[in-house]
Amino acid sequence: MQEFFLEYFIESKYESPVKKANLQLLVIPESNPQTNVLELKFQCSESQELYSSRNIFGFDILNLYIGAPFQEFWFRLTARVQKEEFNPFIVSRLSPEAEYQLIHSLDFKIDQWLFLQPTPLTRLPPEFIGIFPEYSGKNQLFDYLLELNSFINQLLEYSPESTDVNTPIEKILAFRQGVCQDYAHLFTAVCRQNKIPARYVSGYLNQGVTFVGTSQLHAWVEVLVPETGWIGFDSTNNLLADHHYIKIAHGTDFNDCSPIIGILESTGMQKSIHSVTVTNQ
Amino acid sequence: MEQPLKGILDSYTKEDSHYDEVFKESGEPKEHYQRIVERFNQYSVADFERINNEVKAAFFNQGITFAVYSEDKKPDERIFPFDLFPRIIPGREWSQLENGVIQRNRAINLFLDDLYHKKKILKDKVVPADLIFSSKNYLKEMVDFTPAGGIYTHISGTDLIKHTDGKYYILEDNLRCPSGVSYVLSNRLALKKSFFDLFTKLQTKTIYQYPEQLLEILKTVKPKNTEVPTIVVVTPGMYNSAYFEHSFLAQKMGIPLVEGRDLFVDRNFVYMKTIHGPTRVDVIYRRVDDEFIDPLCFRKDSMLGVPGLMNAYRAGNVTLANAPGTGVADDKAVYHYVPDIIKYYLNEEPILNNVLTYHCDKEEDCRYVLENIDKLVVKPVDESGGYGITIGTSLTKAEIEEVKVRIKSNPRKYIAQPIMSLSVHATFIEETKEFEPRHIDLRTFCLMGKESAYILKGGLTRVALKKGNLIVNSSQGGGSKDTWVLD
Repeated sequence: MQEFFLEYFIESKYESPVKKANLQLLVIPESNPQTNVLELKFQCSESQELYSSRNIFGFDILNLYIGAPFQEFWFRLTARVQKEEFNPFIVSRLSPEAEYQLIHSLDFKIDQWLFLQPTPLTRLPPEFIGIFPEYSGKNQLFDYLLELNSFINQLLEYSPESTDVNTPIEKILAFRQGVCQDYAHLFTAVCRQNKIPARYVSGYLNQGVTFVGTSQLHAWVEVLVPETGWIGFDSTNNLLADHHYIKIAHGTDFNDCSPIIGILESTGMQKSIHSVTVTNQ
Repeated sequence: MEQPLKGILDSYTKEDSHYDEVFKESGEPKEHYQRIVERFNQYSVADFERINNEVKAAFFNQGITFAVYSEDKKPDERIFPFDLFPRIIPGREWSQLENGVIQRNRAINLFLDDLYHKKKILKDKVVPADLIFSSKNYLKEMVDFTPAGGIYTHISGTDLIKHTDGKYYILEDNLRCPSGVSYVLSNRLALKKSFFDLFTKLQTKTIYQYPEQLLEILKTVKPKNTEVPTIVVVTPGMYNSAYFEHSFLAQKMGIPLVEGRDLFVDRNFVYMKTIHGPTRVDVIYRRVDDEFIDPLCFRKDSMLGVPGLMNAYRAGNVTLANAPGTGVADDKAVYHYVPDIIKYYLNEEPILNNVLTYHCDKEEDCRYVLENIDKLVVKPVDESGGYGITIGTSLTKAEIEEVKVRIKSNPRKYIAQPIMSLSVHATFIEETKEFEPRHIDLRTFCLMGKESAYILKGGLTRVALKKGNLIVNSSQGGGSKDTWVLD
C-alpha cells in the first residue's frame, strides 16, 4: 500500500464582473479496487455549497451555480488516497487468434462502440495511418499495445506550451510535438483505427518520481484487453499505469474529462492559474 | 323543372394521372364529399372569395405566421396559407390509419429504448450497427439512461401520403418536436366559423382536446416523488419559425412559456425565475433542439439552453419531452428499417407501408441511385422542412451532376425514393379564382405517455400550392387544409 496526498487548485480572475455562472469540476479521484480515497475535502471562494452529480460515464462531478456577480473565483480540492501496488504486466494470455476473433465479433463491437468510434480529437488522418504499427492478430494484443506505446513515445517530443486541448491530430503529427493529452489522443486514435476499444483517462501522477507531465493533471489511455480488462498505457512516459497513477475519470476524449467547464455570463478577459500537487507520504 | 345554378366546383378539371381525393372517375364527388361539394356549389365565386378573405384576415390578426429561412436572406415572416376546402377522411379509413401510426410509434419507442440499453436489434443484425453509431443524433449522453415511464417520443409527427393506388404510405417520422398542430387547431376554428352547420351534419370528430391530452401525457411522465408537477414549454424565442405554436400550446395548456434564460439548475433541480422567487420545474416540453438544450453538455455557444439541465435530467429530477437523442430513429436512413423494427419488437405485420427507399450507404443502392437520379427523389437524411430535397424529373443536366457529386462525397447522408405521386385535392387558387387539383400529404400527431396514447383525429393536411409541385412543406411554399375525420 502507498499513500498519496493530492491537491488541485484553480484560481480565476475576471476583467469585468461575471453575472452568473455554472461551473462543473471533474477532479475527484475515482474509488476503485486499487484506489481507496481516505479523505476528500473541497473549498471554494463562494458561500454556496458545491453539489455533486454523476457524469455520463458514472464519475462524480462537482457543480456550482453562482447566481450573484463575482470577479474572482478559486477552488481547492485536497485528498488522501491509498493505492494498492500491482504489476500491470500480469495479463491473461489468450491465443492471438482467439483474441483477434473476439475483438472483431459483432457483439464485442456493439458493446464497446463508445470507445471504438473516432471523435474529432481521436480521428487518425488517412495520410498518417501507414506510419503506425498495425494490429493484425499475429501477436498478442498486449504486446502490440506495448509496441505502440513506445512507438508513440518516440514519435513525439514532449513540449509544454506547444499545443492546447483543441490541437488537431494533423498538427501534432506534422510538428511531432505535444503534451500528455496529445500522446493520449494519438494512442487512442491508433487503437480505434485498429478496432481496439480505447478510452482517454485523466488523473493525477505521482510527482515523487521522474515522470513527465506531473505539474498538471496527467492523461493516459485505457485499452480493453479481452479476459484481462482495461489496462492503462501512458505513452508520454512509455509506461503502464500502475499505483503511481491516480485516475479521475475516463471518456471518449479530453472533452469528456475536462477538469473544469464553465458557462459564464460575462464579457472581457479572464486569467486562470491551476496547480496540482501529488506527494507520496 | 328548375335548372341548377352553375356551381363553383363545376369548372374543376380532374387530373387522371393522380389519385383524386374528392372526385370519382365519373366526375361525381365521392360519397363522403357530397355534402360539402353541394354546399360549396351554393356559393358564387364572389361569395367564396369574401369568406376566403375573412379567414385570411383572421389568421393575420391572430399572428398565425411562420418564418422562412434561406441561405442568403434574413428570415421572412409569412402567413401560413390556408385553403377553405377541407380534406375529409371516412371513419373506417381513419381507424386503419390511426392503428398504423400508433403501431409504428410504439415500435419506435421500443427501438430507442433498446438502442440506448441492450442494443439487441443491432446484435441480431436487423438494423446495421454502423448506421446507428455513425448517426450524429445517437447521443452518448442517453446511454444506459431510462427516461421517466420509459417514454422517449412523447410527441411524434408521422407524415403520410396517398399514392395512385389509393393506399397510404409513410413518408417520414418526425420525432424531434414536430410542429404544425397549432395550425390544425386554428384551421378548425376558422372553418367552424365559416361553415358551422356542416360540422353538425357531417359528425366530424373533434380535435380540441389535443392541448388537454398533451398536458395529461406530460403529467404521466413526471419525475418520481413529484405530486403535482410544474410543467413548462421552453421555446428558443420569438424569432423561431414556430414561435406562434409554442405560445399557442402553452396558452391552451395553461402553463408558462419560458426561454432557457428563464430557467436555471441548482443542486440538480431545474428552477424557473418568477416574481415570487424560484419555482421548481418538473416536466419540460422543450421546443429547443438537442444540441442547444444544455451548453455544459452539448454546444457551448448555445444561448438557448439551460446549463446543467442534462445533469438534472439524468438524476431523474426533470423530464424532457421529447427525450434527447430521439433523432437517431427519425433519420431518413433508419426509416428504411422501420417495417423490420415493427416486426422485431411487436411481432406484428406493419399496418402502414413504407415508400421503397434506396440507401446510398449501400453500394448497390448507391450505384442504382447515381444512374437513375432523374427518376428519383433524393433527400439528405438529417435535414427537415424539405431542405436539400431534389426531384429527378425537374433537374437540369448540370443539376444532376451536382447532385451526383454531393452523393459521392457523403453517401451516408443521402437516401432516394421513387417519385411517389401524391394524391390531389381540389384547392381554391386565388390567381385563377378556380378550384384546381393540388398535391397533398398528411401529418398526424401521436402522443405517448406512460401506459397511454392519443392520436389527434385528423392532422395537418399540407398542400403544395404551386401547380405540379410535390413538396408540401410550409417553408417551400406549401399551405394547409383542415382535415375532417368522420364518425
